[in-house]
Amino acid sequence: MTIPAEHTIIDRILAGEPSVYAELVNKHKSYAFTIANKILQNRAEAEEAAQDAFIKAYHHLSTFNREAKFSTWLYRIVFNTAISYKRKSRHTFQSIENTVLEYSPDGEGTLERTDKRKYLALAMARLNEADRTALTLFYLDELSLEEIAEITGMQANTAKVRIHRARLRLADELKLILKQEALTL
Amino acid sequence: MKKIPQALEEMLFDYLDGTLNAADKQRLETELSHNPELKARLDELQNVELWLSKISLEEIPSRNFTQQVMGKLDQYPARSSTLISRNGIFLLIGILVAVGLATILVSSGVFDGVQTTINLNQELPQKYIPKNLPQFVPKSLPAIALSGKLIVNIVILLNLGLAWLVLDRAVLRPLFQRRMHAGH
Repeated sequence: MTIPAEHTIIDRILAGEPSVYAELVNKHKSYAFTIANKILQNRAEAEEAAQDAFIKAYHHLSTFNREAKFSTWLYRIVFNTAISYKRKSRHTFQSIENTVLEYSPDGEGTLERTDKRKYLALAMARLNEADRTALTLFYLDELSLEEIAEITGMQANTAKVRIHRARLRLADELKLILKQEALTL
Repeated sequence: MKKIPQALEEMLFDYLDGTLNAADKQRLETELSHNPELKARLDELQNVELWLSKISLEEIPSRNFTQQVMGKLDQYPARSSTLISRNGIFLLIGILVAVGLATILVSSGVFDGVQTTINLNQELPQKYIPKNLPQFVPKSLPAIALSGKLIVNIVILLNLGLAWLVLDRAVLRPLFQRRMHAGH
């Protein structure tokens, strides 16, 4: 969906056609959910926060500045909503600090994709919330540094430094988890 | 193993992302050819990047996500605002109880006997008076008498102002917003 197409949908919603909002939700729900889940580390809460963010965005559509990207505006709402859920949440999340992982290289020295995903999730979970979110936004591969800065409320330079340092920490965490050999896949 | 300076380590990402300018790129490549630790770190980071490029970080929400959002579009403010409202109401009740108690205590004369005086004419220690200021004559300042009753009354007034603010944010605004949305 192009930016003008999104603007047309927004115009239609504001003109009294709320059902077309489903198209915007469908387009952005995965990223919105991913951002919320990286902050909250809890699927049920992330789903609720992402839904809340979409509802907030819908009710504030008239304030959306057409010069900005809808996705950036929406993800900022998702980010703030998830942060606010995090502050209120009384959940005690399962600690992964003491999780023991044993590295056992298979015959061909490669890890299955599902294992990679699991180890990556584990490494990500060991980072702090700000690093995790910045990295997710960065690797979702749709957003520029300026957009990431706008979503997270940081200066572009601060965002760049944070992402660089988070990438270093992620590499170190993965190294710890997989041991040096696994990184030479 | 020698520790790699953080700035240099961070520069590796610019190198990997292809965003390093020509001069810095040249400088880094020279450094890489002389520094095996830095080269090893670059290889390590490159492997992680390669690893990440094969995995999508995107997570999929539940199947009925869109339906749930569309079904809740009229429910506004959302859950978080409701929680804020509820907390605000508790805060308001707390403030009003505190104000009520303070008023009862003031009217029963508990604070009538509490008096204090703030003396502004404290003498400065000699070491703080400049030596080249021989004609330093301290001016006489008035002493301020404060009664406990006055202080508590001021606190009550401030609390009433705060209670009004909380009432506005936690009760009146959400109420009018709900009415406004119900009217659409």
